[in-house]
This record gives sequence, C-alpha cells and structure tokens, in this order.
Amino acid sequence: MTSTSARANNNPVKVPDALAAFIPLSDYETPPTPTKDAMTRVLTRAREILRRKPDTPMITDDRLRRSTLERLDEIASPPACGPLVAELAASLADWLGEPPPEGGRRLIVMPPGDRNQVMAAWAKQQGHEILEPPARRDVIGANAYDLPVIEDGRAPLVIAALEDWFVRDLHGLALVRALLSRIDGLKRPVIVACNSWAWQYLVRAVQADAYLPAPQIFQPFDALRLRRWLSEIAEYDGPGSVRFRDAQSGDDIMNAGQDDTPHEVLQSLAARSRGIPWVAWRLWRRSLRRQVEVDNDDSAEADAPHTPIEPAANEPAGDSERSRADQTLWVIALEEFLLPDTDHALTLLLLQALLIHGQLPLDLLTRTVPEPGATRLLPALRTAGIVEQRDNGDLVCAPAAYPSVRSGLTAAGFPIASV
Amino acid sequence: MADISKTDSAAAQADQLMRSMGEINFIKIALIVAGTWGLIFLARRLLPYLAERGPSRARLFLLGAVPVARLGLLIVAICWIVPLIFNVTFQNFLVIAGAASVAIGFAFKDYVSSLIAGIVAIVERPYRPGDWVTFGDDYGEVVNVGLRAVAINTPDDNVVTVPHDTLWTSNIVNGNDGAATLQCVAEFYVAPEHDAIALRAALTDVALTSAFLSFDHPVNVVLTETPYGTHYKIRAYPFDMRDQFVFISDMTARGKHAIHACGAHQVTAPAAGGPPV
Repeated sequence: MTSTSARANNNPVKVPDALAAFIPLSDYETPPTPTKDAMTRVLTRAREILRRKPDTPMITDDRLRRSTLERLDEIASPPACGPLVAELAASLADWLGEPPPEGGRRLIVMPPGDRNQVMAAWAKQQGHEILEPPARRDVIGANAYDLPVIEDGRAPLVIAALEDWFVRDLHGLALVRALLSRIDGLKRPVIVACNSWAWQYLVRAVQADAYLPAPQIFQPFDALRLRRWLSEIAEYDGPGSVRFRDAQSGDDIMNAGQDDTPHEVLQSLAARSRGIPWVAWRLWRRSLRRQVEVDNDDSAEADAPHTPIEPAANEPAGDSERSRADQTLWVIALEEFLLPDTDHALTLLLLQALLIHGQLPLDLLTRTVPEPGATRLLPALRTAGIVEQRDNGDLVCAPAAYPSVRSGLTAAGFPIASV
Repeated sequence: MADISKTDSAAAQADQLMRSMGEINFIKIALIVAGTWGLIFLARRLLPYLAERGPSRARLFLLGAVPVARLGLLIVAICWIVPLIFNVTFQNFLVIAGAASVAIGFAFKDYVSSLIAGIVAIVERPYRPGDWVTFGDDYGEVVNVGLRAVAINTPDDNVVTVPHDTLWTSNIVNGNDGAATLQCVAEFYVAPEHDAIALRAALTDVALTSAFLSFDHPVNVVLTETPYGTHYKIRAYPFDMRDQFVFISDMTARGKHAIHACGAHQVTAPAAGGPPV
C-alpha cells in the first residue's frame, strides 16, 4: 500500500504510508508555535531588548549531571535518523528505478547539524558510489585539475555534502564551480546533498541552482511525528517502560490527547526545533530530568510530583525492581540559548561562517571571518555550548543552539537560509 | 468723548483676541507643555534605543518615527493650548496671522524658513533618521531630524548640524533613501598591461566571498580606461549599511591581494612636484 504525498519536479513520489516523502524545499513549513510559547518568547525578547546587560550571558546546564547523561544515552539514544534514511530511500526509489535516469539530478537540502550524514548513510546502505571531497584545507587554491576522477556510466553518483567542496574565500570557490560544471556534463544520475546555509550561499556565489534542480527536503517533524519518533527511540532494552511526564502539570507527554492532539510540550518542541529532528532530539535531551529536585529557585519543579528512579542504597531489592519498572523522566521547560552580548556582531559573523561551511578548522574559520581577532570569542562560545569541537578538531555550531543562533542572525539582518 | 469710545472698542477687541488673565488656565497649559515635552523626550530616547537593540528590519522604521512623533505631539499641544489663550475666531486668526507675518518677515525669516523646510522634510522625507546622506562635503548618518535642523554623524564621529532650509538651495544625496542597505564601492587603479577578464572575475569573487555581502543585491565590477591606468570599481551591497566601511575595507584589502594574484599591479598618481630630491 502506498500513498502519494509530495511532488517534486512534477513527478509523484510514492512511498509507503508509514514514511513521509521528501518535499520541495519551498513547501517546508516550520511547525507552528503554541500561543503560550509565542507569548513567552515575545516577553523574553522584550526583556532582552530593554535590559542593559543580560542576566545570564550564557546558558548553563549544570543540572544535567553526568549520571543523567549516561542514563539519557539509554533512554533517548543518539538519533540514527533511521526515519530519514528510510524516507530518503523511499523518495528516491522510483526515480532510481531500473533503468536509472540518464542525466538525472536530485538535490537534497539538509538543515545544519546533520551529524549522521543522512545522505552518506543512505548511499552506503544502497551501495552507491560517493564522491569524496578533498581535505578542507586543500580546497583553497584547488581548481578543475584537482577534481577527483569521475567516471561516467549508468550507476548513480552521490555527493554527500556539497558544503565540503568550497570555502568562502577568494581562492575557495574554483573547485565547487569545477565540480558543478563536471556534474553537468555527466550522463549518470547524480544525487547531491547540501546544507541549507551552504546552498543559499552557493546559489548566490556560483549560481549553483543553474546546475541542479529545485531542492527537496524531508517533511518537517511536527508534534505528531516527534511523538512517534521519540517514543520509538525511548524503547530501550532495559526493564520496564519509560514515561515522560511534564514537570509542570504531571501529564504523560506521550499520551495522545483528545482527537490525537499531541501534548503542548511536543508542539513547543516541534516549533522550537523548526521541525528538524536532530535539533529536536538534542533539545528533548536537554529538557529531560531523572528526578525533580526540590529547588527554591524553581517552584514549578518543586511543585511537581517527586518520583526518584534511582534506588536508594539501603532500598530492598523488591523496591529497587519496582522503581526500575516505573521509569519516569520529567520534562522541564525548554531553555533558550542566549548569545553573548560582548562583540555580538563578531560572534554572529563567526556563527554564520560555521553554518555556511558546516564545519571548519580554526585556521580556515579565521580566514573566512574578516575581522582580526574574531577567534578570541570561541572559548566563550564553546563553554556556552553554542560551538562544539569535533574529534578531528573542526568547529561546528551546536545543533541544539541552532534555533537561537538563527534567531540572532535574523534579528541582525544576516542572509538567512530557508530552513 | 469720541476718544474714550475708541479706547473702549480697542479694549473690547483685545479682550476678544486674548482671554483675560483670570480665564487662562495656566496650570493646564503648564501640564500640557510638560506632558508634551516629556513625551517628546521619551520618543527621542526610547525609539532610538529600541531601534538599536531590536530586529534589524525595524530599525529604520523606529528611527524614522521619531520626527513624525515629535511633529504630531507638537501639533496636538499647539492645537490644545491656543484655544486656552486666544478666542479663536476667523477675525482673530487674521489679526494673529498679520502680526505674525510682520514679526517673521523682519526678525525670524531664516528661522521660520528652516522650520517650514523641517515640516516639508518630515512629510516628503528626502532624508530620515538612519539614512546616509551627503550635505555639501559632509557625509554621515542622519541621527536626528529636528524641526529646524538635521544632525548627521560622520564616519569620523563628528556631528554636523545642517539647517533644513538647505533643501531649498542645494542637492541632497541620500545613499539608501530608507532602504536597509546601500551600494558600496571599492576602487582600484591598475596598470593597463594585465588580463582584464581574469581580474574582473577575481574582483567579483572578492565581493562574493565577503562575510558582509547582501545576497539580495547584485555584485558588479566595472572598469574604464583612464590616463592613469585601468580604473576598477567593485559595486556591492552589505546586508547592513552600518557595515559599509568594514565592507569596503574588506573588499579593498582582499582586492589588492586578488590584483597581485592575477599578476597585475596597482598604480598611483605621482605626488605633485615629484619625489623630493
């Protein structure tokens, strides 16, 4: 049984009912913000505008302790983005059907923070050839002669991250121009994935939209999709079932309300994450607490039922099993990341450069940001959790901070990507 | 007897023109003046403050609202106060207008000309707060549009006050005319022997790789031959016009590098009289 749920390039995409087909980027709509949430954000913004100095310049997450993180890894494990890989496969299956379309092109745009590299995961799963980019530093000064050899043929070719093929530098665009030109001359089908910010920049800088078709994207993860997905990844191998309860009302968040309406917490999460699953997952993780601590500063938490799930050391074995069977996690209100007020403009230039490139080593980041000394702000941004350093040393914008970073860039008038 | 009746008639006229001192509510007038002053003060402080801290797209709107709010408040205050002091009739209006005309014609001609030009400037908006304008040799951001004069802040952080009646006699150059951005130009003079096509492409990339670039406006590199060399101009727009000088600096610094990388070299006009011997 199939359903036709999206159109791209006038071709109906048929995917199984359980999977949501990819849609044109222009059709992507951020899930709506609940009224209460919108009011809170307006008030927060007004307070931000009117006060001279921020109360707390950076977000702190000291309440989420290491033991909690370990536990969260069991209950809200890192997202494999399973639904997206399956949805991508389903969306491209017909198009790639036998025989593969000659000279066909597909462009998939992903929001920033796609650590799982959905396109690469899909390509590996399907056994398609992936065109590997050169090391980022080698992109500077590279040109058509430095392109890897690309054989033509019938088998699909996948470019998993177009943003890895350029650097916003005087000598950093020649390679991506050569690549797009080379792709244009190929008869084999080519599937390209690109970060939404990079795509916006490449359209402006190298007219990438002249070589590739209109971009497609996954359907936004609204509250319903989030409820389904978060419930799935919470089904871990441990004993008992996990319950997610709103720390304010005590509601079971995953319970369907009347008319199957998702809980307001999920609606808020969907809106805050802009329908991006990896952002939603990280925000979700940040909002989970193992037990509600009685805290004078947080009356909402103090009022909520106290349900510890960690058995006390002197607790009898039977009680221990009972408490483990009743796995309850409390969901507290989502917190906003606050960008530092110091050198606000410079901070935003750094963050914009990171979003456009996806990830950058420090020396290249310095090269793409024109103001000298901009990198002195990085330690503060890393401490705040807004910028992260990956294992290879590259710097990235933290996915959980993306909504706040995007808001900051929007308010400052920066060019903003569609998603 | 006739003289006495004439004096009574004149006194009656004066009574009709102005209310008697006992009739005028001075406390009410003082409250209106103080309230208007307070509201104008608030508008002049609060709106620019919100403009600088609020969303970028609302900045020009908020700054532009200051003179309009001030003019509106002044009109309301005057319309409120005049009937408290004068008996407003058509005849009285003619008397007041006649007296005012004589006073203005002799004593305050230039001042009133500036005031009228100020009202025209608020209505026609040849410049508004936040715009980047050139008055004569002075270029800067309009920071205040008063009733008599406009104040601009130059890039060297000098405030230049220009009376509005400049409107009647001079051209006023407005760089952005209410838009959120303006065109910036980086200029280079290059010795003629070079690959102009390659250099033009490189200078285009200079603008396209700037962090300050607006994606919604075109980038153009134009060149002309002059007696001093080939004159290149990169015309591009920053996403925020407040970045215009760092944007031009960025394009100039990297443009020099692009010229060098293309194997060309910049030329300069020799100093008058040549180098010192």
